[in-house]
Amino acid sequence: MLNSILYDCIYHSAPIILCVLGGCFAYKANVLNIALEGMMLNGAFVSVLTYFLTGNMLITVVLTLLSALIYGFVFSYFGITLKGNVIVIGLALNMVALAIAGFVLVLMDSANIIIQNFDLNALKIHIPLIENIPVIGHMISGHPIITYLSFVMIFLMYILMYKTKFGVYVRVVGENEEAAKSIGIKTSFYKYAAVLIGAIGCALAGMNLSLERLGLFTNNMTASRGFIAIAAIYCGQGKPVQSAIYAILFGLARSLSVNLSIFAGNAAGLFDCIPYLVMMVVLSMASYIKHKPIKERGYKVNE
Amino acid sequence: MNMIQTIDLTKRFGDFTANDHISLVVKEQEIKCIVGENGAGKSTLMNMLYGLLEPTEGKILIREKEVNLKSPTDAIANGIGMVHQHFMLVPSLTVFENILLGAEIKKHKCLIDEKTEIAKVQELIAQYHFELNPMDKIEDISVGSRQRVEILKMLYRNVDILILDEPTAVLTPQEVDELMVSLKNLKKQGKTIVVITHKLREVMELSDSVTVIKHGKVIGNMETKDTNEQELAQMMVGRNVILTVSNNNMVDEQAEIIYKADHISTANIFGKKVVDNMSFCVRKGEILGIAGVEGNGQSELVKIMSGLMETTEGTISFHGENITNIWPKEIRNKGIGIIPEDRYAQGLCKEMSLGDNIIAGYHSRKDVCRRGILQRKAINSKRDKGIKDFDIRVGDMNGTVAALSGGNAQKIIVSRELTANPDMLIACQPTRGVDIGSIEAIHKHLLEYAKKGNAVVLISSELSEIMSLSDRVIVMCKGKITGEIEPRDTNMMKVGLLMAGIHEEEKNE
Repeated sequence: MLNSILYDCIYHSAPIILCVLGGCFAYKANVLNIALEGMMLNGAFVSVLTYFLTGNMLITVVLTLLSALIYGFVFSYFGITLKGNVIVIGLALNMVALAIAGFVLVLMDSANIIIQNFDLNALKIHIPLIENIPVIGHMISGHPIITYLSFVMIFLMYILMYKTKFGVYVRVVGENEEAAKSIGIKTSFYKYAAVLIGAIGCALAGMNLSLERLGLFTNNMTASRGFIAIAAIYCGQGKPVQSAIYAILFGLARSLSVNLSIFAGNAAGLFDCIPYLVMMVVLSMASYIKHKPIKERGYKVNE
Repeated sequence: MNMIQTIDLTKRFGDFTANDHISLVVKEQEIKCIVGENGAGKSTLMNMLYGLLEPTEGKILIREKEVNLKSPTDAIANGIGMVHQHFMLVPSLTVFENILLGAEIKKHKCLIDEKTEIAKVQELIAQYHFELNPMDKIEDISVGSRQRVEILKMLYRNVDILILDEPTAVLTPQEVDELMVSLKNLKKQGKTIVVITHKLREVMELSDSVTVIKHGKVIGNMETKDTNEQELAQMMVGRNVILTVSNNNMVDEQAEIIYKADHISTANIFGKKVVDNMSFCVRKGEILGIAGVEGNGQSELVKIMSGLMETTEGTISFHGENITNIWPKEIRNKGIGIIPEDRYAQGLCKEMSLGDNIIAGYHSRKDVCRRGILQRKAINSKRDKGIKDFDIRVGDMNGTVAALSGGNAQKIIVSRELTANPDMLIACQPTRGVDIGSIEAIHKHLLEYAKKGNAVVLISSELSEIMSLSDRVIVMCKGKITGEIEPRDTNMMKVGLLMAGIHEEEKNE
């Protein structure tokens, strides 16, 4: 029981972490990317569909990333170049992703795309030695590659955001665009880049969610993970490590809901709302704690 | 050598001519002040010199060579650096990161070499004798320090011409003095400095030559030593102005106390006491000044008084009634008018019409709102009356506040608060960033209002404003009252000491 809760925690955290890490850059660049959900769904859909049609993993990865970049470019073009409202554009992209997948499913006359004879176990990596440690071994060994990648990315994204020129510029653009312009930083370039990093993160998250873990796609299988990621980004104020910790918290909530529902009998469905309830409670608590010592009326933290 | 020369420089925005054939010369190693009222076209001129705007006509010569500045990068390459009125700094980054922004030093090809950067900035700070710690975050340092960071940012880029846009607008008196010393030092080290300002005292103290601009035209070019404040003011405004309106009202010392703060305290986000056990009272017909170096709790005190912040201890009473921690709307209903510290953040809504702004805060009163519906006609007549009575210069009666200059926008607030006829007025920085003509008008309104037997609490970082208008002044330092003075028979020296928190032991305490 404990073993499977811990294993599932890692398992469910991975896609949210990837989404969060990508979204952090957009958040720091002051372009709120609420299309994370759609981009993730698109990643899940394109990866399974391509593999279903070609059976070639390399083509699948390339096409999935390409399609994510298209979403990223569309979002950036409308939101940054044309200065549209990013919320509306993001919502539209979320719906487009859902609609395209739905349309193709109807054409295929099927409720989902299932890849036949897909060996899921072959994708799992068993780490020698660590595998044999009790509890922990079972928890961290035996995941597919993108899951491991997601945890490594927390560290890499931290370096990228705080130790490189690129990261500094992204934060400068988000915090004081005029300052960035006054010293000749091309602000649009950094905003585009921040959104595209988010798109890649979401594509990986989608691929992990559908192809790598299940070998199947059903529409709306992302189940609002993109929005949970946005909540995690907010709670962690866009800092990669802190936000990722919130992502893991939500992963744990989902793992609990999955594992506990076994005992719930008829009420099992109710347990599905645990991650969403946790999200609401965490968001309110984070906001309450931030505002509690403030005597000033109507004061906004971080704005 | 002429460092900068403009020949018939003109900038038009549509039909509006912001700069009309401006010709001026800035010589090597001089401090040039460019003065003019708000909206006279000073900033447009500077933005052309810094490559932010392209001239419609005319030439710019740098070191006697014609240049075509297309962007700030071009300007910097030509040795021109600009320190903007609103700093171009990133609050969450450190001092050294801000100075080297855009010119980072790298190691291993992609990572930033922080050690070398800090050493470089340390060197720069020492070279120009500035007081700064390169490791501090911008959000933690004072406004004066931020300005020094901004200047260093330019110096690091090897500019020899520095343009400063209203550099003293946000500084405390002490910081102004420090800035002047720094600028004079820079001049000695071979830099040429152009300062845009409308504070004439600073012009006289700082500059070698002055150019006066009015309505986009050069009105006069002269050596500072050949002119005086009065003459400059007259040129700027186009008529004689009284530079200091003084208070000749006599206050009855036995007059009724209408407002009383009793041991009030409050804390900031970090739990630090920013207003600490303050007690004071205000009498009818009196102007009570609250002086102090900015950032010593005045903002928080005003926020408490105007209902934007809650107290942790203490009570406030008005006409004997306890009004502690009530909301701004109720405060206005009790008969207290509020001129807030930041007119665009708390006093006006820039994107809304003049009429809407002139009833803001009073919009649920019966004269403009019946059964929840705003009475447009009543609002418009109120607006017209306010504009007439307070001499507010507006282009379009139905336009928005965003189209008004700072002085006229401030007059909208003054007219709104005074026409509601309150018993007391809280006036916080009523003339900050306001042109000389409007300062004179606002001061007169405040005095006239007090003369009618109403009370005024005046909070300002302009010491001269406090000293000339108030009947009684309390001085704040670190959230505490450090002393109370009679402005008519106190010298500035004593006030300065109190502002720094040094006070002689009172005998009766």
